Amino acid sequence: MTTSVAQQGPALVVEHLTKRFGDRVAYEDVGFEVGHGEVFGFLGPNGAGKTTTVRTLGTLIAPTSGTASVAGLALIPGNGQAIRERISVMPEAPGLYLRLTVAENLACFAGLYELSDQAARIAAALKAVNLTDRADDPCRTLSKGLRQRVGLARALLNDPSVLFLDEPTSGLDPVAAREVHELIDDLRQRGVTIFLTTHRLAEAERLCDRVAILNTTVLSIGRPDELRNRLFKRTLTVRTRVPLTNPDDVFAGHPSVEAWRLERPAVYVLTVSHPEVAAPDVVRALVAASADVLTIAESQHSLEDVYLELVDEDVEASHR
Amino acid sequence: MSVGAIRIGAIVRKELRDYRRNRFVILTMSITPIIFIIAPVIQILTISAATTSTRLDQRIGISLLYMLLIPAIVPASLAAYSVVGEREQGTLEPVLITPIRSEEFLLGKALAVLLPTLGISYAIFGIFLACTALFAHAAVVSAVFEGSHLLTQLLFTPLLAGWSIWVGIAISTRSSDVRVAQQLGTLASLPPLGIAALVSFNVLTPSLWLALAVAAGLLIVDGLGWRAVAVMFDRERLITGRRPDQPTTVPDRAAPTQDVSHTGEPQMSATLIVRREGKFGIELRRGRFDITVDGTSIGGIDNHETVETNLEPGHHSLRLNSGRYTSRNRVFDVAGGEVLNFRCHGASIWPTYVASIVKPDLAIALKRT
Repeated sequence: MTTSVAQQGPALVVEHLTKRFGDRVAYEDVGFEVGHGEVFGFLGPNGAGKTTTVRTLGTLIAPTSGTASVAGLALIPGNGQAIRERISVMPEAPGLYLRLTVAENLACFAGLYELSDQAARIAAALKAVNLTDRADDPCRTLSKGLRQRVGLARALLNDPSVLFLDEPTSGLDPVAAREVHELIDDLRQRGVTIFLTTHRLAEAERLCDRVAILNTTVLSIGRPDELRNRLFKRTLTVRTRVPLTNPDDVFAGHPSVEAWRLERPAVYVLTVSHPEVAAPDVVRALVAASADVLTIAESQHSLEDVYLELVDEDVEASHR
Repeated sequence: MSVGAIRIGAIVRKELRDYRRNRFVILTMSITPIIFIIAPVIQILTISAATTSTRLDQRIGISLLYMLLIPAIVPASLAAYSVVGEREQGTLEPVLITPIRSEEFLLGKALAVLLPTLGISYAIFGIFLACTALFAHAAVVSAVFEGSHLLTQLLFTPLLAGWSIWVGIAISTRSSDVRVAQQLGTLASLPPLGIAALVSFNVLTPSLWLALAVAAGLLIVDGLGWRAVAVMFDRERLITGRRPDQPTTVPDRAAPTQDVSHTGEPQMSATLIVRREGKFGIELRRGRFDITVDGTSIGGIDNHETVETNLEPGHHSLRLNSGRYTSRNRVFDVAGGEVLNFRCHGASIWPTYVASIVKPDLAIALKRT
C-alpha cells in the first residue's frame, strides 16, 4: 500500500475528461475533485456515463481526452497497474465465481493483490460484511444481497485508498440495501474515500458528502443542501385551521418575506431568504391576526427535486 | 518483463478448483482420452506375430498418433472457453480491475489448462504402454518401446498442448460467443498434428535431430503465442466489446430521401437495397453489421433483415463492418431510378471465419445480386 503518497493531494482529480465510442459520447468534459475520506456521489440517469467514468478511472478504459489522477497517480497507461494496486472497484454485478466458496473467491483476489497476510485479510473482510459464518458456502447458494456483500468484501481486501462502488444496491430489496448502506457508513468512519455511482437519490442524500449530477456532462456538483439552495428558493409552509380572511395583510408587510402564494385552502407557501428570521415574524403576525396556526415549517426540497430539475433542464436544453 | 508468480498461482488455483466442480470440464477431460485409448489398444493387440515390418510400423504409427491427439484436443475446448467464458459470466471485469498484468492472467489460464492435460495425456500413454507390455507380441512391444517413439510422445505432448492452448486462448480473447470459440479452438488445434503424423507414419524418418528440431520449432511458437496473445488481449475491448477509439454502431439515421443534383434541380434518386441472408441460413460471424455508404454510417442490419435507402445518382462506395471485421469495399455507379441489390452475410464456413481473424475484410461477404 502507498497510502502516504496517495494522501498528499486529493484522492481523485478529474479535468475535462471525455470518452467517445466512435460517434457516441459516453461522457464529455467531466471535471471534479474528491478529497480523502470523502463519500462522493455520482448521480445520473441510465446511459449518463457513470459506469464508463468508473471504468476509465479504474484504468479499464482509456479516455479520449482530458486528464485525471487517481489515488495520487496520473491516469496514464504506464500507471495502470500501480493505480489498480491502490484502488478497488465493485462493479454493479459482483461477478463471483459461483462454483467456488466465499472464502475461495476472496483467496483468489487476495492472491491477485499479492497480499502477504491473506488469511487475516480475508477474515477481516468477511467480518466487515458480516459473512464470517458463510465463508465455506458456495457462492451459487447465496442470495443476491449476500453476493453483493461478498463483492464488497472482495473490494475491501486490499485496503484501498479509493473505493469505487458502481450501483452497489442495484436490484437489492430494501433490507439488503440498508445493510449495504450501513457498510458504506462504516467505511466512511474508517476514512475510506468512496466514489459511489447511483441513481437512488435517497441513497446519495443519506450517504454522500458531495454529489455530482451527470448526464453525459456534469450538470452540477456540491453538497446536497448546497445544490438545493442553489436551485430552489427557501420557503416556509404555513397551515392554519381555517383560511385567513386577508392573507396579504398578514404576510406582505414583512421584509423577511419575499413573496407568498396559496398552495391550497389554508396552506400558504412563503418565499423567504432567511427562514430562521422570517419564522418568528410570521408567527407574530399570525397571532396578531387571531389566526389558528396548525404548523409552520421550512419546506425541504429533496435531492430528488434537485436531480429532476437539473436533468429535466438538460433534456429540454438538448431538445431546443 | 517480470511476472508475478503469486498472481499467476492465484489464477491457476482458482481455475483448478473451478474445473473440479464443473461437470462439463470433468466429462470433457475424461471421456475424450478414454475414447482415444480404445482404438490404439485394439490396434496394438490385434497385430499378429506374422505382420510385416512395414505394416507393423504403420499400425504403431496410427496408435501413437491417437496418443498425440489427446494433448492437442483435450485442452482446446477449455482454452477457448477461458476468456470469453469469464466475459459471459461477468467475472472478467473484477479480475481485470486488480493489479494483474495481461501476461500473468494469460499464463495463469494457460498453466491451469496445461497441468491437467499433461497429467491425463501421460497417464493415458502409461496405460497404453502397460497394455502393450502385458498383452502384445514381443515384436510389437519392442517396436512401441523404441526410443524415438517414446521421445516423440514425451516431447510432443506438452508442445502440442501448448499450441492448442495458445490458439484457443487467442480465439477466446477475440470471440464473443463461447460455442463458436470452442469449435474454432478444436479445429485450430489440429494442424501441428500433421508433422507428428508424418513422423508416426515414417514419412519423415524419425530421428533424434528431427524430433528436437520440430520440438524446438513448436517451443518457439508456444513462446511467441504467449506474447502474441498478450498483445491481442485488450482490456477495453473485452469489457466494452469495442476497440479503443473505434467507431461504434451509431443510432440508425434516416437515409436521405430526397436527392438534389448539383444544379439544384430535384433528381430521381436511385435505390440501394441490402439484404442479409446467410448461405443455408448459417452465419459464424454474427451480430449487427453497420452499413457505411460513402464513408458515412447509415444504420445497421441484422440477420434476415433488408435495409433500403435512396442514393444520389453517381459514384458510391458501400462497406459493412462489425467492429474490426468488415466486408470488402464495393464501389459502384448508379443512375437515377436504378435499383441496386446487394446481399450480405457473416462468414459461414470455418476456413473463412478463421482467415478473417488475420484478414478482417473476409469476415463479411457482400455481393451485388
